[in-house]
Amino acid sequence: MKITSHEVITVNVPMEAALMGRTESPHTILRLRTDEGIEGIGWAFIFGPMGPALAKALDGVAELLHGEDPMLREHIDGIVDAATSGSGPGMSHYVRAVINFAVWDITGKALGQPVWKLLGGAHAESVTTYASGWLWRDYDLDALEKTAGKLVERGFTSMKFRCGAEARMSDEAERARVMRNAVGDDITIMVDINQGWDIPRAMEGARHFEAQNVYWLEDPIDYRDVQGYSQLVNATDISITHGEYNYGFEPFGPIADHRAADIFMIDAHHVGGIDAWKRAADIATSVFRPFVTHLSPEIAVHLAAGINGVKTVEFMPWSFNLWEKPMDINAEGELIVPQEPGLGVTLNEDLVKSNRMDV
Amino acid sequence: MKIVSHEIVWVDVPLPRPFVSGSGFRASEVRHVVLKLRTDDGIEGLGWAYAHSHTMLPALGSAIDDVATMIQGMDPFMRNEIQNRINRATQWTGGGLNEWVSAVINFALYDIAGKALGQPVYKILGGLHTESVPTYASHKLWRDWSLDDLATGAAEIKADGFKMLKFRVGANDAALDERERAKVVREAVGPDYPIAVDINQGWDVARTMEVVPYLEEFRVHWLEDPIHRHDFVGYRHLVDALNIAITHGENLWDWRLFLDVVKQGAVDIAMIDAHHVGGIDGFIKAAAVCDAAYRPVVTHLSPEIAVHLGASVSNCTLVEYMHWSFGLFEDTSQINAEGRMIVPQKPGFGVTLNEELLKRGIKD
Repeated sequence: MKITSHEVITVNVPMEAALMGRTESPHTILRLRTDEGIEGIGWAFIFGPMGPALAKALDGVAELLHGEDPMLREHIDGIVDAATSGSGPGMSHYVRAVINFAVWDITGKALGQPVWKLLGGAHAESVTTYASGWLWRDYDLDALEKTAGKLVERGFTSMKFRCGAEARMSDEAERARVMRNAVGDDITIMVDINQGWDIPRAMEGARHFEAQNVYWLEDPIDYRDVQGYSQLVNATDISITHGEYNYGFEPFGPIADHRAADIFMIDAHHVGGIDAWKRAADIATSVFRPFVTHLSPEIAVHLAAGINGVKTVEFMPWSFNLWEKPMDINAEGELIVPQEPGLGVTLNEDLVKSNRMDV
Repeated sequence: MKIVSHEIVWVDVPLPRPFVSGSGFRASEVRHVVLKLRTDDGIEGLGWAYAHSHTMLPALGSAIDDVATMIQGMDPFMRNEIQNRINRATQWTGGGLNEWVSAVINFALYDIAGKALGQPVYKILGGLHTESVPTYASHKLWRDWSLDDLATGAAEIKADGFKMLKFRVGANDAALDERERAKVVREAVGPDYPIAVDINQGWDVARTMEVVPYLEEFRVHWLEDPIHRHDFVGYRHLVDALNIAITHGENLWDWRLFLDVVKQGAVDIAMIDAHHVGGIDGFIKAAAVCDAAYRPVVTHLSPEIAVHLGASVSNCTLVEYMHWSFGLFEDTSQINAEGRMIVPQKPGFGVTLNEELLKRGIKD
């Protein structure tokens, strides 16, 4: 089997829940086609000027893969790495990830197996998940309370809310209090700061979150401050979770060395794809740290269903409207594992047509 | 003064002789993307970037174009405010391309500042040397050159007046073949002439330990990028274990990484590529971090920009002479009778585009 052609398209995907004022997320999609008629897809979503830049990069790199066997993933990653690493980390990892997703999709379809099974198979039916597409930094206390209640009704057993935008720490503490009161004692709640704080602020905030039994404190400080994270891990009781902003699996080495995370969060795009994600997860395992996924549940579900040790999958619905069928949770609040070959997603071709963007 | 418009120009700059680059790309021209940033005062600032591998250049051009549009209406002197705006717009992809985009725009802003103030960039940064800076010839002696060509090329470099040169090894399986390259270069220039060597990350620690004794035999001045750019632990080992000066850093995309490198004692001479650390402001930050650890820094490529850094940054000891952009400008980097690079005195970077070449554009 050989890759014969490709297409890169950008599609504006409406989001189920608004994200800080945005209602649509531009997705860059790679369609990789083979001589056996199998098509694999990979995708990314990037706001701003780097989206069109990614489309151009993907187009150029995918051209280099014509004639290659899509099942030779390591070989293909070598080609992609050579073509992109001269531009440094970041965009090059997005390119590698999107291509890696697409060749995994092809491989699964060719073998008639879902990707998670080819990764090894850990959980066949459902995996632990938490609601993440809601409870943003711009929700007022009333919206926080109502939305949290709705998520519990929908069946989620854990959910993430955001802090970091309030001027006064007492207002941050109030958000946590409202969340805990809204969901009761049995629901797990986590909080994400998206690097908004520094160490003194993080130390102060941690105490308030601990008082509400918040499970994890995510990205409190600049993702590059490994020593700072080590300090927070040692000084706070709450689980310090971070890693989504790291590009490549390599940065997880120093994080592991310094035990600078209680929970390793690994983003499948930023790390460079599914195979790279496993490498990063292995680093976490080697220092006995749990690890979790970031965004793209369509990919993350395969990681969690395929590899032992993924504590939970982030249920972020940003891409759901791109598919014929959105992902969903079962009656136990667990994310349903797809059983179709490959990644198990089918593009909603009507949406692709109607929402296609020129970049 | 406000930024009002910009133009992106693509151009293939011819080289005097086709070659195989350090990263393994065969080239007879170097593709450049040039940003012309224009203000309402009629001042035009230049920033540019180039690559041997064309693959990521369209993405870079697209990003520069979009970001340059975003900063219209802003005061070009407000570089830090502009950088914050760029960071917000590019935050979702991090790292490499972001630094590259920031650098090209940062260069253009400095060029505008210099032209607006009637001063060369090095003086805006705080001049250290006003006439010339130390340099070394880097534009010859590639990894694919034969031993004869190495010998001839090295002798030519010395005859041209350069006081130091760099050559490349790393393509041979036999360590003795690498030794032979160092031997012919040393014999071509005589016992007192500094010769540096670049491996472009071709080795690992074990291989480096195997070959370097042969390089130290011929008193090679520095060993550049022997192992993977991120193997700081490996670099620390080499720094501790070897006499030769371990030089690296051109492949670090983010000035903050230099802090990790120097804290771990993982470098002797830090090499900073201004395109990879977000421009001139990033270079200065990286250099300061190295200075705090008493490490000298040297520049990487783009002498038209680097000469201004060499003429102003207090711990910058050497500017790399590389000719890849020379065809792009009417006025190329010049060497004086002492083998030092002449510091340009015209406002901004002091370069004038070769508009004839720009008209020719690129082939595909």
